[in-house]
Amino acid sequence: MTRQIALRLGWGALTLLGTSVIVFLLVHVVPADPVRTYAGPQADKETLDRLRHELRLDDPLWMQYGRFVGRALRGDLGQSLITRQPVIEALRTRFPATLAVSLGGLAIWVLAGIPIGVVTARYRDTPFDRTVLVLSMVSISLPTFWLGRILQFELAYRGGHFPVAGLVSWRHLILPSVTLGIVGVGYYARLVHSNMIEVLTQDYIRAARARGLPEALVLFKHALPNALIPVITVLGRDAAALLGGVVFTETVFALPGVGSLAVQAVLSMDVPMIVGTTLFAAAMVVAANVIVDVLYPLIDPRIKTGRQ
Amino acid sequence: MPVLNVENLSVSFPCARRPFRAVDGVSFAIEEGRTLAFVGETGCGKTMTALALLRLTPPMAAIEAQSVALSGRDLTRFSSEEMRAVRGRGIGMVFQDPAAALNPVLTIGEQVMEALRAHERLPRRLAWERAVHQLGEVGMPDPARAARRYPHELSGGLKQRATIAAAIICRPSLLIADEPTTALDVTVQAQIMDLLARLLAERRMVLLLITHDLGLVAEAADDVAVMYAGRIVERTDVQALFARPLHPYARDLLASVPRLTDATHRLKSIEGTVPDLADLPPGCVYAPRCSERAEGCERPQDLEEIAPGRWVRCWRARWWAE
Repeated sequence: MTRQIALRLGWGALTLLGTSVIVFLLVHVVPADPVRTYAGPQADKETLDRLRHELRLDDPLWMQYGRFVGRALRGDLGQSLITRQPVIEALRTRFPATLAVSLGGLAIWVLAGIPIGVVTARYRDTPFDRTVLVLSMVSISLPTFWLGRILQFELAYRGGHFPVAGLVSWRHLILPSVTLGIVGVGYYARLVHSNMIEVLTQDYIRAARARGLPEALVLFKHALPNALIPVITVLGRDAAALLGGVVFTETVFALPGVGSLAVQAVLSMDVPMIVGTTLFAAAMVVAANVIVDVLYPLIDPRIKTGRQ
Repeated sequence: MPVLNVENLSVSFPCARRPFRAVDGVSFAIEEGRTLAFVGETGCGKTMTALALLRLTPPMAAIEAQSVALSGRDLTRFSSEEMRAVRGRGIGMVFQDPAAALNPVLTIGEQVMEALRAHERLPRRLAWERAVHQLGEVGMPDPARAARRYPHELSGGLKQRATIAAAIICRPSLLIADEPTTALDVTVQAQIMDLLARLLAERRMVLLLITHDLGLVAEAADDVAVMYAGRIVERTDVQALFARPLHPYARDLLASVPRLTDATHRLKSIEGTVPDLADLPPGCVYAPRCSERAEGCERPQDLEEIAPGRWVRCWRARWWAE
């Protein structure tokens, strides 16, 4: 098992390396000049050239990249060109907001989506099922920024029931989490629904009923664990995407998270920050994959971890 | 009093685009200590009959019966909760493919003891011990260890032993085995049938064996009912059927079994195909394929007792019996 994890982490490190190369190259292909960003709009050419030499941005790319990797391995992702603060500090202070909103959204997906999926599968083709189907389609189709804006405008600004934006108390997390939740819950409900339907046709479900088990036990002990196996992968992937920065939601609700940090970095051509936030998102994906790989054998005993 | 007495059981699908009856007016009884086999081709309704006894038919199926008496109690009058109490406790069922009939994410022990926990509300530890004991009784080697294993870790024969253990742990009076050996190798088949025979002898349990394998019927059953297109066409004891099958279908079925001693090179089959259940001929359903077809076969045939214990659904059988 540990060997498996070590292997996954090794591949993860490789993934991060590859990501860093791509990001680094992309950033240097873009026409905007980081030195100008650093120096400000008033700087003249002499200052720019001097700064360029000081910051060693006139060195060949591969040298700059090598320097970058060396520092990164020591935990130094450089400094923001705008705030002059360490990138890694910015990520550290911004991550909790993203984490909080992500957990809120994930909670709604899991706590609402899964039971809905189970019930609609059990009572398929009833009016209830059909209504939920339509609602799920609506939920999947709603754009995050649109829904966030509407909720913000109606419930917070006009209605005054919730704070409009920012992050001062836990109450500020409600609307963003609900936005995220609504946009994804339909997808998870349908996923669980179709997996459950397939599982319910299996012989072992009929055998469980033939043993006289109560229907609730058949649904939740026999059917659901089998139906959730593919859902774990999807959940992992989505969780990774969320933790890398919930861009739309954070922007709409002005949450100080990694997503809004990334947006600001791109808009102001803050190169180290761009690289930093992208690598952070990639690291989340790697971490999520490792966790999913570890969880799988716990749920499906047929999957063996490595050679035994 | 027979352990199981079924009168006029039907399973129909009224809402299908072309409504049909999968089981039509089936009646039979199983006495204490006897084994009844249901024989027939795929699709003749034998599995559906068994499922109807447990009310486990598909949701769009409609079950009708005059009575289904298990040890005297009429199951047709039972509510769904009462019926649930019968499943796994009064009647146990073993399915065809043990790999498919076991939940891959639960241990063997967990699945064997479930019925016990559900019906007798035993605490986990006690139920687990009983499950391990039951696994030992069905011939599982190292039952304590096997109980902690998952289905994919066992061979086919051991899986089937586990499903049998799960079906009989609450000591049902009737065990239904739906093609219990079809998915297994021949040598394992023999072991499983021996196991079933031993269990029947040791417990007060009767067996309803569903199969298409006539050899199995000859070996394991006391009585046999031959099914065709959802109805029983001949019902009698096994020796009588094999010695002298009276219904043309039963006779053709037995004749189609290849014999090693046969000098001929062509396999005998029955001409024609199984009829479309939604579009059955008005009289005898077998008539289109029957070599003894005559005037009078276009009238609907009833199952009649033409000799003590010999029931045949063919008006001409009376003459051949003499």
